[in-house]
Amino acid sequence: MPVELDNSSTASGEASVSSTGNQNPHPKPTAKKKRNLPGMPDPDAEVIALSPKALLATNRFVCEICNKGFQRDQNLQLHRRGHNLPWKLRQRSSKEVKKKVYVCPEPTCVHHDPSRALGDLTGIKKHFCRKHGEKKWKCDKCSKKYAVQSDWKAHSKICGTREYKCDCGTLFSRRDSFITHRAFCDALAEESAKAQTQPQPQNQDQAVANPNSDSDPKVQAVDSSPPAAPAPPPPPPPAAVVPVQVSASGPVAPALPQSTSVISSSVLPIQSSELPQNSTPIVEEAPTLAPAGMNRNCSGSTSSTSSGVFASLFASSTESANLKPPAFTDLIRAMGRQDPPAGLAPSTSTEPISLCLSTNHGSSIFGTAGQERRQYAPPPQPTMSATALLQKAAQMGAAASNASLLCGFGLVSSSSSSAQQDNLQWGQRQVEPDNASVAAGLGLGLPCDGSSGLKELMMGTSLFGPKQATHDFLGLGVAAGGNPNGGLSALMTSIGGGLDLSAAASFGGADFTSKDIGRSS
Amino acid sequence: MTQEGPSSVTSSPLQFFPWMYLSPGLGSPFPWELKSEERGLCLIHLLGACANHVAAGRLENANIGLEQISHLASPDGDTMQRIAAYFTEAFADRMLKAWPGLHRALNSTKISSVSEEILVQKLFFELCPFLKIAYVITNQAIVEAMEGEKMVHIIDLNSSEPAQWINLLQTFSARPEGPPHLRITGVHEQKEVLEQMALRLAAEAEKLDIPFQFNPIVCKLENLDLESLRVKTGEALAVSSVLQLHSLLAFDDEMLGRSINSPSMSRNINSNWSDRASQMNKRTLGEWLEKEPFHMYSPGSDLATPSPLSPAPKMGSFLTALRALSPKVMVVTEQESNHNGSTLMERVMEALNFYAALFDCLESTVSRAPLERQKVEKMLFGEEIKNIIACEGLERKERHEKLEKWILRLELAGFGMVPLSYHGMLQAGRLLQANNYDGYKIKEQNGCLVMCWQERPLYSMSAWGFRRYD
Repeated sequence: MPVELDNSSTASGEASVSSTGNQNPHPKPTAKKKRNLPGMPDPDAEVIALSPKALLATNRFVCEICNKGFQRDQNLQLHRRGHNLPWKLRQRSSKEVKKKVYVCPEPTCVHHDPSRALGDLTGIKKHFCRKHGEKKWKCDKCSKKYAVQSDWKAHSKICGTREYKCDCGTLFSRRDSFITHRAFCDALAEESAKAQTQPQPQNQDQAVANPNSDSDPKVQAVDSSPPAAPAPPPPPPPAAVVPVQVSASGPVAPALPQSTSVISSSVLPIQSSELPQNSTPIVEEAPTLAPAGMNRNCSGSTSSTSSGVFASLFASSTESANLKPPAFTDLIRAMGRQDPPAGLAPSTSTEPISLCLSTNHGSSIFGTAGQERRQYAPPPQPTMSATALLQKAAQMGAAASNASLLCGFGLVSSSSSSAQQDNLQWGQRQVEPDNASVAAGLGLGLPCDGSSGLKELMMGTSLFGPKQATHDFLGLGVAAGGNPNGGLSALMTSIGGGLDLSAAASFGGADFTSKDIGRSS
Repeated sequence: MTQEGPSSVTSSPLQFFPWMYLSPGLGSPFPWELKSEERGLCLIHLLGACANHVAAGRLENANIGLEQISHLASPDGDTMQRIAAYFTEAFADRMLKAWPGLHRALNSTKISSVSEEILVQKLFFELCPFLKIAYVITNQAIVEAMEGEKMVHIIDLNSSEPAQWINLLQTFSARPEGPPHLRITGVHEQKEVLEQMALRLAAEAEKLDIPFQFNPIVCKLENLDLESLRVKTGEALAVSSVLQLHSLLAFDDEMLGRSINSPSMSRNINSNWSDRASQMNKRTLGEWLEKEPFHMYSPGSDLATPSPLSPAPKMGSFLTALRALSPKVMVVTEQESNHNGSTLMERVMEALNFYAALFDCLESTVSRAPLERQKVEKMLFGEEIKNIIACEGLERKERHEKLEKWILRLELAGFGMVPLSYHGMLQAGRLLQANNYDGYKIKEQNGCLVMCWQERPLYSMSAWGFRRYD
């Protein structure tokens, strides 16, 4: 298609030269003798308007023999030598080289106007691609796309190298945006961490002020610093509960910064349990914290079957263990921020199940104040995630259920409360460590243990076997009823010890335990 | 009091639930306002107790339990409430099967809408990253295995989401050596889905200028005749199985009977075997059975050594058949949970934990309000839960098993594990980050990948190749 020539030398800025699709391999630049306004372009420069195709063409000079393309005419000429064709290398012309400026072929572009022409061919090429081209190159680390290959390469080199990372996990490549974000982010984080009771006293005040009641008495007791009175708001737990929890907050506290206490129930136990423990974590469904306190309540105040106590217990422990899943990560981070004690860091990465382990022996579950019972001030999140609830129930069930031995994971020997269980306990105790270590060693996932704990809990509801197991042994077969494990309990009592649980409790985990039980007993 | 012994227990937690044993006529037994957590814990207790009753056949007690739960559960409530709602529905369904006529009648007018089902699958794909990651990893494994191959044939055991293969097409077209000639055979029960796939994929291949062919096979997985796949010599074969294999385990259950411990079964198993084989009239099954050593699958051997693997001839034969096709790579994605336990209680416990995590995950990824989330919960998860709890035998298709079992099964069938590449894992991680999926993790475990939600493993992915018997 012929190139339109506008020869009218009108006022500058008028040019509307457009060269349309140019099939000619040698796109002849339209010599446009036009005056250009100052600014950058040289008024005497020759304006060259290339078509988009010409602009994007990489090899504009083509050999007629073999059709090989070259970016420069000089290269083509040298190539022609090889074909024994007449070649002519253009010398630098004697006359002054006319300065050339280029316009963008895209009519809507501001550089389409000769007065805004760009002086560099490569520059106009890149401009055209960047602004009017399709972004074909994509960074594979982030999702930025580029139309110009060199831009893309340059970015890829930098991408990911210098990054600022906020505590909340967001990445920034620019320092200023990072700082700005951090200012806001911190505010948010602090707000949620309020409940987590920062180690500093003033934070404690904040923590106290927040709506989680039990954390306060806990916090105080643990820290032995006297921050605000338990003016804390909501359901003030009955006095009975408070002392229990307070006392339960053991000596573990000093080891851990206050804030860690706020960690979700699943995480916390491990910190507390691992720290004072030197032995391998024994897999026990024994609840470490909240349940411990609760159990004590249970056992201690069996008379007080008032649902009120229970409810408040729930309330207190609820708040303490309350976390929404996203907050979970916040807390972990908050924990991390506290410069975690040795036992902490590894603990966060361990399987959740191990988190539920208490390394105490059954008897000590109820007993010692040294129990890692730590009341945490949870963030003001209303709903607990279902998984957290299940873990909690597992802990509770394991602790409180007297049918613990039935499901044979040798967990809770909370049976201390039940005298009838004594004869069973010995077998159980023996089994426990093995089970625990096996299970721990095998890194059983949460579901396994959680479920076993839950199972116990639920079995406990209708079984109450162990108590009566001794009677069962005598052939009453009461609680066993239709429960598959009922017979087991009788079996266990009769044989007195860890048994072939695999038959009854055909958990995957049971396979391991049965082996161990076999070994241990 | 119909309950045995709770009153005699002095320190049972249930003493704090005295209302559990109230007569049903009292209406809502909760005089006080329950907080969300209390309610959740109550629900868990109740669910467990109810499951116990259902498992033992104590329908009366289960009924009471269900009623109590109904006061607390709700499909519109918080996570635990919703989970409880679906679980109780499953329990009820199971209980109702005690009256087959009743059960049939109630379910006879159910309108199953294919488009709804398809929509729900799509929703699940879009809302949660699990399928996306599964596809990314699968494709990555395929691309790596097919390096240098000119003819690639992929068998998709559940061909429902075009995005999976569109991504592969794009990856192939960007290959330095250029795209291979690609053939995809998709298996699905519904013709419409396959037609849609064919259209989308053909369009994409056209756009990318990749020689492409799509072969639809409309059939159920269990009826899949491997001959119909028409694997040609010279083709490099890849198999993609996303949440499909477990349904085959249902047949083994049916064939072997539920009790693998019963000695009588083990005696009969071999004699029944050929009968059943001929009954089933499947060339694939019969063919391979002759070649398979029976002892591998007899329950007797299982009893002798406490192996966690239940015998699975159908699965075994299917896998062996697949292996006989000499695939270069087979990528298996499965739910990481044991929902194939032989007792109901086991399954309830595992399912509770698994679906609790899934519900949590869905809740946190999608806000509470949308209808979509409820759809996915009800029509996808709810149905799975119902299947796991209420169905038995052939009906129970959702026989999820843990990775370790799959590894055993696949190795038994002659596959060798191909470790999933680090690059794939990185890609998946980037996908999560780029799309702001918080709380998800991808863990590597002995060459396999496990997708977790907050430390709870949910889906496992592994890749398998041809293992030569040395």
